[in-house]
Amino acid sequence: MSAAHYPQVIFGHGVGSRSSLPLELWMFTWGAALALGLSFVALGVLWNEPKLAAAAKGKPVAAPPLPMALRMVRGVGQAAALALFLVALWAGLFGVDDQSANILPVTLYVVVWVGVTLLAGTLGDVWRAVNPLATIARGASWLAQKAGVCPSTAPAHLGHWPAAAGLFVFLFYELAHPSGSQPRTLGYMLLVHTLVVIVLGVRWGADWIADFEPFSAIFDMISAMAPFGSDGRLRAPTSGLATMPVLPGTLVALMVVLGGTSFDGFAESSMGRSLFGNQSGWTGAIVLGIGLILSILLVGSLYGVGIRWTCSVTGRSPEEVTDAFTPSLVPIVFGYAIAHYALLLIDEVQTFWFRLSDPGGQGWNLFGGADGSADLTLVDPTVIAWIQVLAILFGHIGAVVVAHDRSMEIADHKDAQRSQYVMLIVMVGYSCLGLWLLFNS
Amino acid sequence: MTNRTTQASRAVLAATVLALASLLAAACGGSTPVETGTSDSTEQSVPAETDHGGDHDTDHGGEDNDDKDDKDDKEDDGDHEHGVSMVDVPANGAPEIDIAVTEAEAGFVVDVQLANFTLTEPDVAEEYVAGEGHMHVYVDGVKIGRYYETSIALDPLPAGEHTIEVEINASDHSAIAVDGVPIRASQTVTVAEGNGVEATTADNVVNVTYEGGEVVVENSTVEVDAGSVVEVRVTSDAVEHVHVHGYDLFGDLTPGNELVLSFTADIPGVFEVELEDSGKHLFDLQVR
Repeated sequence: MSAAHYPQVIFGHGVGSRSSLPLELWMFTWGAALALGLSFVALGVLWNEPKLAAAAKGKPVAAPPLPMALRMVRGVGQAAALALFLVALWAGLFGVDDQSANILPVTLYVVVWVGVTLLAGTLGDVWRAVNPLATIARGASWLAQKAGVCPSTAPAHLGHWPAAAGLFVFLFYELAHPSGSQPRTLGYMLLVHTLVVIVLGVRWGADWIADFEPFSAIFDMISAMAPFGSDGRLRAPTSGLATMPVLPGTLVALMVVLGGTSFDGFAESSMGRSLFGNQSGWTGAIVLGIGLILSILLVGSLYGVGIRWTCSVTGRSPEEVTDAFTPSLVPIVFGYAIAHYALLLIDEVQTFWFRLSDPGGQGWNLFGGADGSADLTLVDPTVIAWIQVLAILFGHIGAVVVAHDRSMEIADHKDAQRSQYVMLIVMVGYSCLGLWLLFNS
Repeated sequence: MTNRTTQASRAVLAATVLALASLLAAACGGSTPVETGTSDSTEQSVPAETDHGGDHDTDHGGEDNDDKDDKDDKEDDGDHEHGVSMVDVPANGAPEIDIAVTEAEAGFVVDVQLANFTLTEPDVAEEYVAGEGHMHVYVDGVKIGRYYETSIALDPLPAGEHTIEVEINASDHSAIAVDGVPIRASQTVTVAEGNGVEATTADNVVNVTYEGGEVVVENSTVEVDAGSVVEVRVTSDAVEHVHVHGYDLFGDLTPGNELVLSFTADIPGVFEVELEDSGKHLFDLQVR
């Protein structure tokens, strides 16, 4: 029997045929204990003055041909990304409205949302290099200038607020919208998004994309932790976070994503199901939407408590403390994303590959893979469990190191030690929450 | 960044309390419907038995190969306490029942002779009306369903001796008795070696019922070992489609027929089993 006759509706994130097994108890307890233990080890052994900002500049990779090669690859990458973007948009608008046969849901929710997050955190800002939305905005701007329209400058004071709002809308579609995994729904969402990019591209050019456009903004933030800086410079992992610009709304954008991932994990648990799974349609969407907001507020308020406490310890203003510590959240956001979506990424990247042969689900077979289906036994579940725990732990260590470094910058040595206790507790809280969600999935 | 952050952190602090409170409230409130659903189902059935899925006006027969259930039921059988309650009626003019079981091509046919008793429609109100009701059928002490017709078709049974027992019940499901002895008829049949169906070889049997838009299943998460054989048995009062995600198994549900999906659980992970049309979640299959 063909799966194509049945629209697949998956609770929680829009795509995927299974979720990962809950962590075994010993992995959960050891993971949480390690997160706590490593934090205190870090307090003792880490440096006494800020070091990361200096390290963030990095070293140019020895061979000069490499940056040149990168620039050439970049052109190809931009063309490929734009082509894929247009194919996915077309499939969403005109393809079969079946999420298991259409390429758009898997492209958006897995390849872009999870896949690019992984690439950004490990290889650097590949999204900025190939960003199809920036290409479209540049094209619109170029055409507008040809037509004699004078571009103006984007309002800088908005910072990351538009991105934060956009990320929330995206997560609402992914986690709450009643038809958020349907190609048509996503196609229209993407069309509206593209039109906004074109209109703003005509008005402001393409520079605003990096800060305002939700995907570009979050991938840009995550790429700050990668060991590769812009132009392929090599640097210590996470050192780039020391020089990451913190704009108005940066913290909120990170919290929206962290809260969204947490909510997805929680909603999949049996407790989450009994809370949120009883309703369907828009009633269900509203219940889920409220859950999403509560989740964001919950992870946000944990941070808020940390910030306030740090303020009272160091005597610094909340703005200074927020600016200093916000980048330390990036490794945690990254670790959460990898831990929660590792299995989804492995399964659905295969699906994506097969969908490429028939993006609209109309019976094409461009690359001969249209009938293939993901090999769900490719990776042993034990390996997945290790990836999950290690992602949370590495995210935790990264966050602790960056927070430590930042605390040295905003407080003198003694206060820095004390202010760190607070942030450490916050970090341990996030990591234990992350592990707990994996344990209860 | 001006005093926005201060305001934000104040708002966020207030929100923590609110969020925690609502989550707690929702957690308490959220568990209620689940419990109600379970107790509803046992009320219709017999409280002492954990017989899942058999409690239906469908003609599926069947072997419940859950040994524990089997034993419980046999114990119940001994002291004649099947019903939620029992209604004693005077011996004079009491309902009478007699059965004749014959082997049919696909299983058995039970012909029931009734006196002083009228069978109702299945959807009649669940209240006691003298001389009216339906029948409960037990095979080897395990209740397999409610019946409203005098000709009852039963599924094939494994080789060996089996006791088929029919009890008459009022519409409120109470057993009708004379002097404390429920009115029932039984007959023993013997299935010859080689003629009987094989008892199910499944390592795990999951019984699900879908009635009136409510899903009744014993566990919301079914944990099985990788490589074991899983049998999902679903009965429904509506036309629906069952989908086991990941394994991509599909099955059609029609009222009165039991759907049996049997497969080897060889892909690890957590898989959703759900109804495709309504999107109702049946249970999670956890293969480790």
